Amino acid sequence: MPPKATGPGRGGRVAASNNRTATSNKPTTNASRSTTAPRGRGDASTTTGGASRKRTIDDYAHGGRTNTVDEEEEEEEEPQQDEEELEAVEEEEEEEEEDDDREKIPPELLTRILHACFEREGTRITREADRAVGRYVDVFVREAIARAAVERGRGFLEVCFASLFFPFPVCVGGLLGSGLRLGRPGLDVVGSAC
Amino acid sequence: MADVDEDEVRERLKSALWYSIGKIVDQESLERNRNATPQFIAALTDLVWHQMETIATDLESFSQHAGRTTITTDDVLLLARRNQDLYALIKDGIDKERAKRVKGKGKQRR
Repeated sequence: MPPKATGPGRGGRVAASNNRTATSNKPTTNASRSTTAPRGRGDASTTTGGASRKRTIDDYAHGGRTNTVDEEEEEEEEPQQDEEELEAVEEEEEEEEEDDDREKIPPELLTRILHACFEREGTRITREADRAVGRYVDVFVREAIARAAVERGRGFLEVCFASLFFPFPVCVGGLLGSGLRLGRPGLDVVGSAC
Repeated sequence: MADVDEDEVRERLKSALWYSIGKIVDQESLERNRNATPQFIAALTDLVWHQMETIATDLESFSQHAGRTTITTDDVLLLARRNQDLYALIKDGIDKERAKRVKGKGKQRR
């Protein structure tokens, strides 16, 4: 019986393999665990500066300064799967396929933005952490829309220039945890009527 | 000159972010049967950009505090420490990905 393909995971791994082939494989220096040999699944090794193939922002590329690392798991013996586990895997894959249908911010774009915002030149991020940040930002955006929709009740989701003296920005923890308004000086992104 | 280039890069990144957020807003609007003004999308994009700046510096600080230059999932989970639901969501995603990777390797070996 042929091995079952992990459908939703392939996208990320394909992207990883593309990155691996597109850039020079240099040994990692800072990652505690990283791949050194290419693997069939395409888990990419560290990508450092000086990529052989240059991409543009429009392609949501990693660019020359992207440093992403794989957190490689320790090699283990794979236990035999029961039928129940296989069914659970199938259900999870179906759920993840539904998640894949939802619009997301491209992971490469997020990586690029993160690296643009890093203060130190040599800062790197593992691929797992990169995906986790992507999930974080996705939740942030969707919660912002949901809060605006709930507060608005009906009609258009708008920007309300209500509070010019709103204190400087709420951190995400406060935003998502306590239901505070999304705000920054001069701007109040709220769904309430002005 | 370098500053001008950096500003240009940031502007282009913001434009790309605006496009992606616009698509998410459109999808959510359809699901909720609502409409969103372009100003809303622009403001949300601005908000997300500033949040990402905060996220980036926080992650960098966390990793540096741990004596690393590479940001890991532990740093991201630390970022979500203030909200238990968010923490659980991100942790769940990380665990699922790791489980999938382990299973994938096992099948590969067979």
